[in-house]
Amino acid sequence: MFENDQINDSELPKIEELSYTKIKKGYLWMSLLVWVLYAAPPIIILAIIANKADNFPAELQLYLNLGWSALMLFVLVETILSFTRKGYALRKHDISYRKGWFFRSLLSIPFNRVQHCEVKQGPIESLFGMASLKVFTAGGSGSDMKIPGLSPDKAKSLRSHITNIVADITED
Amino acid sequence: MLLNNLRKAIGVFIPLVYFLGRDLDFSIFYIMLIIGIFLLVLVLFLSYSFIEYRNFLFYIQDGQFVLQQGVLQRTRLSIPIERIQSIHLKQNIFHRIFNITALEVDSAGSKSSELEIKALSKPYARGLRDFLYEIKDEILEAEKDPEAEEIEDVVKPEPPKAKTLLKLSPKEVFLIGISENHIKTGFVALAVIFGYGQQLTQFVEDQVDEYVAESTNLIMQSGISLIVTLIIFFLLISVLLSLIRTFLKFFNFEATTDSRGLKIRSGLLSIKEYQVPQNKIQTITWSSNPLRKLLGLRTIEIAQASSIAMDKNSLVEIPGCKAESIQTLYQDYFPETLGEASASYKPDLFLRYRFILFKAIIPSIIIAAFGFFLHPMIYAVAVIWLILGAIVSVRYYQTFLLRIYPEGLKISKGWIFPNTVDLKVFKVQNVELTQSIFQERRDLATVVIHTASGSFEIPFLKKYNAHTLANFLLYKIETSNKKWM
Repeated sequence: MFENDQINDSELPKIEELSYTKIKKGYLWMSLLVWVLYAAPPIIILAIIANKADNFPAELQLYLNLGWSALMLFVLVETILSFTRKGYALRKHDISYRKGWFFRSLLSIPFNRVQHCEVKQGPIESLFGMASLKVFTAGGSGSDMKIPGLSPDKAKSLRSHITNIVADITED
Repeated sequence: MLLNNLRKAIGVFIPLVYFLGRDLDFSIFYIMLIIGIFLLVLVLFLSYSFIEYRNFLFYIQDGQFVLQQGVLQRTRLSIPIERIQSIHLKQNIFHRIFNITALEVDSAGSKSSELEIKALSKPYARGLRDFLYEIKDEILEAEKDPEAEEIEDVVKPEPPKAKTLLKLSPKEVFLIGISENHIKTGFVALAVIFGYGQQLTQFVEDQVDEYVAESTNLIMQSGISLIVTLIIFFLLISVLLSLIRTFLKFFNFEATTDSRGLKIRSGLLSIKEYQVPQNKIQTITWSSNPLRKLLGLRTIEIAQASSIAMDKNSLVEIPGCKAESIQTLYQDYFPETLGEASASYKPDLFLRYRFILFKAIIPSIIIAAFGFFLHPMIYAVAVIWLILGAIVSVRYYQTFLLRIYPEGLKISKGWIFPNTVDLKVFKVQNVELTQSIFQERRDLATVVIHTASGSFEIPFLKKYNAHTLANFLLYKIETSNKKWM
């Protein structure tokens, strides 16, 4: 028989009480490397241009460098501080991923809305021996979940865990 | 089919003629040659069309709707009938001359599983559509086991009876057109004009350089009066364009609703007749503007699930709805958000201060800075902006409201352009909580609800409320076994 009892707000399973599994330490080193790869080239290219062009104003170069440095400093702070906040939590019926320090976000996907999930390993990730798990729903590209900084085995086992649950749901 | 090929053939032939006839004296030989080629192309084209027509075949076999086509590369496309979602009929102006219609079959699945038959006689197309629906119903009926049926009875609302929801007379279409957001239309038109313009400019520039110089002088001299004239001209054109667009799109608009969902038929030159199955509807939005509020009209937008991205088919617009038809529509398709809300949330006051800061104070400081450099008169503009911006911010903030129902949500906002979105909880895909570090300090959070037809933000809730909302949504989704599509 179909039951649909009303339940009180206080009895609902609480996402504020999740305990998160942290991602691997190596991810921090990887993001720092990526940060260097992003931050350095514009400054170098600007220096080369200023060097080659005769009448390139030194003030302009200074301001451009300052602006870019400020932006990159913010990114660096965000990268470091957000690392400790990155983490995922599995419950019986959903998966949640928390990220961000300045702009925090907590995304929760119920398993009965998962379209598919995949393990991805980019070139830099494989250099550091890491992989990420992507979980897709029909909610549009902005709402897909990407959990980085997992060991490849962990990512694969998470994927098969989720796909098994999804398969069970679709069979019912 | 024949027409389609004819168009292709002419497309091939014209450049050919142009190419041959470019720098030739039209001696008998060449004229003969051209006529010869023309005849050859004609024969080829006729036989190709004939074979294409012969090879084009559709039939129903083992519960599948099958379409075969192609001359050199033959393809066979089949769709299981029970998976057909909706069937649309479309007539463009050529179709209307020959009184035929195109038929489009939409199935649950990817883009490639859509099927189109380009030309059928109208009564035949309608018959085919109804026949396919009948078979689909029979198959689904046969598949149902008694247990499932019991649940179905409880879960499903009463199937809506066939009735006319809305029928627009030319006068009403005119009113809708006149109350469009003209400034938006104007800017869209400008964008299009500039798009074409870029090609034209190159050509024109060479010829009119001196006139440009002269007219620029004129503009400088006539100054403000010209700008005013231009603005009036822009508005007039915009109104005219809105009217034309509305008439083309919504002439003879008719929306009916029956057990299969919503059926909509409209158009002046090309007529579209399409179906919105109930289970594909994700959200209903109504919106209005000051002029429409006066006329008591609202626009309804029904968003359907789309597998890849928002395409034009997935958004259905019902213009000029009166209160009664909206009521009927909600009763049939969104009973979840009728009646008393079980809770309602408003964003924190902090959002109001944020609006005032970003919409009133910062812009007016920027304007005042211009005043400092250019002309003291601009200070007045800054003051006016500050006052108006503050008023709009406060009123805008007041309109934000989230109502929570046992099975639905209603999100309202907007003062000058009010807008309300209704969604069913079990159709939500996933839930996101976001916070900037400033929000965190004030114990606030924004809830973003992602559905298969777009994301909706409920900004600056108290953290406790945001968590309660997220918990409620997740609980509802996870305990629901209804299909979201």
